[in-house]
Amino acid sequence: MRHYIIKRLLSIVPLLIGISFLAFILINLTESDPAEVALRVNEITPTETAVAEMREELGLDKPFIERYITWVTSSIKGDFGNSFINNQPVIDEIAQALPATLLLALVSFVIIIVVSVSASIICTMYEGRMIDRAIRGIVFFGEAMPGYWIGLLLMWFFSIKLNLLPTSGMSSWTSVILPAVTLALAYISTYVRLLRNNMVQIKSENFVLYAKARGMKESVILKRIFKNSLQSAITALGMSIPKLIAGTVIVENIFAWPGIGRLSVTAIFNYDYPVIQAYVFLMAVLFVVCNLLADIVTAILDPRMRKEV
Amino acid sequence: MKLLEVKNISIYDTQTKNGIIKDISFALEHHRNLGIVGESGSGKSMMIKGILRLMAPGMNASGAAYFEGEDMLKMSAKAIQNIRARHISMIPQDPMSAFDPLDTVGKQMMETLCENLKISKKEAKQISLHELERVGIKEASQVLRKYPHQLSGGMLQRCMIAIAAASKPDIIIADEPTTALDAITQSDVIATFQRLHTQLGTTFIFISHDLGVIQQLAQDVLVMKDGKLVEYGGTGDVFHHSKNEYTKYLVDTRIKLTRSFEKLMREESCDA
Amino acid sequence: MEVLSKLMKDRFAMICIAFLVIVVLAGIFAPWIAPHSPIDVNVKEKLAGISTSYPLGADQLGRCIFSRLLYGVRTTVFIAFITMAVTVLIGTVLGAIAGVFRGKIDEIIMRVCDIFMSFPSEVMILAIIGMMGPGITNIVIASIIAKWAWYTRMIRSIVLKYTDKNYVQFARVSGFSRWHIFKKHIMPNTAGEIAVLATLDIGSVILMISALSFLGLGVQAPTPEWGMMLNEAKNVMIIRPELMLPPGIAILFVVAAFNFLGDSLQGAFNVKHGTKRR
Repeated sequence: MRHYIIKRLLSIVPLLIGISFLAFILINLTESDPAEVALRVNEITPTETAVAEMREELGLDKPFIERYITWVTSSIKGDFGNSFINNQPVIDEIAQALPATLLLALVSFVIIIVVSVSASIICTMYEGRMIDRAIRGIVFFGEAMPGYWIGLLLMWFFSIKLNLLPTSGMSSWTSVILPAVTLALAYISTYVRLLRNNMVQIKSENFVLYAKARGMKESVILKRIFKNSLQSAITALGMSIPKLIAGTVIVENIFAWPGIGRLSVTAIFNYDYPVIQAYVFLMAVLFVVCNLLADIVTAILDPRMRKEV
Repeated sequence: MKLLEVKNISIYDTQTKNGIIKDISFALEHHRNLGIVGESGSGKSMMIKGILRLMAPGMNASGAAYFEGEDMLKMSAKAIQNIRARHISMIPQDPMSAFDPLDTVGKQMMETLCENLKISKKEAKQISLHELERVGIKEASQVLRKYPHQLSGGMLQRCMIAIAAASKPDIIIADEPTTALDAITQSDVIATFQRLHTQLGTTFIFISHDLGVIQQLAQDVLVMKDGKLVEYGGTGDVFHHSKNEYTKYLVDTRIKLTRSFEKLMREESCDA
Repeated sequence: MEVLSKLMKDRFAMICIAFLVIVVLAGIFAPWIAPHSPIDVNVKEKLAGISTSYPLGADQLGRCIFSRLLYGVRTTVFIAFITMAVTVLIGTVLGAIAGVFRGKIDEIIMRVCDIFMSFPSEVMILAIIGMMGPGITNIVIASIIAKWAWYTRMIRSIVLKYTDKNYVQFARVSGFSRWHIFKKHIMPNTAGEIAVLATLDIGSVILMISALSFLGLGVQAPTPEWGMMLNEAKNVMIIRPELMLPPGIAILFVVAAFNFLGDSLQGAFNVKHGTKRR
């Protein structure tokens, strides 16, 4: 087990290097000179000397590899440079926006788990019957529905028609409901389908037949089915955390939620490269780490893996 | 009264309407073991699953299966669960996949006993140890702590037999009880079955494509082909004086196989 | 052609195909079908209700919604087609190279795929748009970059699956060249499975393009695009909420039809992929 964890930990090192490299070269893909952009967004006329000065300030005159290493080492320390727009440290801006995004992601994560687990258990219990087919029908259309459209419809219905919930912003605790539900709905369909199919497949396995044959109660058997399907569920849910946080981009923009999703889109419109770069880098790291954690948790749950101590 | 009486059971796929088992009747008498033989895919296991209502969704059974005068096919879910727990135990094929891989064998065994015999955990543990020893497992307490993947097919098979024997059912149905086992374990398991039959008076139904096993263990035999009953009667009669082409074919193949195997063995020993 | 006959029997799949064909034709012949220009502003007809000349009414600038919906096929659906075609092409070439030649080149391609796949595609696309700026060409490029690795890997595994089949091994032992075996035995078999993958995934590409356009990062005004139409509808949500319906329903139906068709194709080809739609 320890062996496996160490191996898995080591395996992400080249991945992290690759990711950081990719995040770094993205900035070099830009058609425009970052130094020039940095000047323009601050409404300074990019004269030749001004550009040259800016290039020096941003370290753009140094060779590529050197720049990469400087960027990585300072990124690890949490220094992503300053925003082109307001000259604030990027890390401060992100730290300011992150709690809102985490709150949003957490609430929808809870909704996703509660709804998709209970829906898939119902489907498994009544496999092939009306309720199973009804849920699968809803899930099918749920997957085809644009998330932001659901968001708009919800906003219209609950905020404008019924005037129950605030349309946007983060003014009261009820503000989180609509964005979180919208975000959750976009993922629930996928997880219900995944979990249900997995549980139904496990249901047809020999050990379930034997459990039934020796007279075990339905609830005990269902618990065993659920425990066995947890493995793939955790892998999927582990992946879903970074995907959720990445998915907040659209929802935060619909509901004017002051999180990093909105920050990054604003940054894109403003060509604020340091912010974009930091966002991308952090997201990728988060993705890798969540994947790693999901793998380790699955391994711990499975006695067949534990044997390799 | 017959122990189990199956009347005109048919099983079909509700979607395609394809019949899988067609109109089979048989009866199980006290202390007379029944062997069900036929090639794989002939519907042997499916018929048993049908009687115990263990079929996959989308399958439907018609006919009747009387146990103690009650039709199992028309019982409530609760009642059929009680029958499975206390009166008719089934040992499915492929012991390697028969236990939940995420839990120890002991936990699954004791859970079953607690539930079925309404006893405490402690009692369940004692009975488990006792039963495991009776089926020839020496380090029973260690086996209880093992996960399924840590035990061999033969061990798991014996665990299943021990679980079945512990609840002292009237009938034990063993589906391909020897297929997954090597020759030595096979004869051990057969001996265990014979002992349970004489000591506890349990009546067995054996499903097997191995005619040798059936010949040793069953008094009656039922031959199936393509979901239909081909022949049904006393084991000796069916195996030695059958008029039926298919039965003769099965018996002949078996004899030929044994002969060529013996011949091979002889050649091997000559070579050596 | 067993696949075709299986598909013909699936009535719902046929309905999906018919629907998608109609949508595509409507997109192609939009200039002839559309009652109005999709971009001409007509303040007099601002927010007009449903009428014979405006079948779905008009938006806040007096543009005919029905016409915009028809022209929207050209952006939303056709751009998704182009994206998919290029992605599948790249995936097929690289996946086939990796799967057929194996060895070092396979190793290199797979490692690069690993790195690209370690980014969630949403973040990857956002990153590229961020660097290259908003615009539809950039979105297409971004989604190709975000998706090629997954296709390369899937197609490689499909190629490998067929390479392991007995008749291919036999052809190999019989001394046929790799290229010949690939052309004759592997390519025709993999084509079907790749088609399944692409059909299953095109719905998500449509959703993505429209989502980015909704945010204002994709198709730029005044070109009609379904996601952007929703964004415009959002601004008049309080007075005319029904404007949110046509583009939303259009996206829903087209994506649902593709998804269903993909599932049916998967059934007809009798293939199972570990991960269906991502």
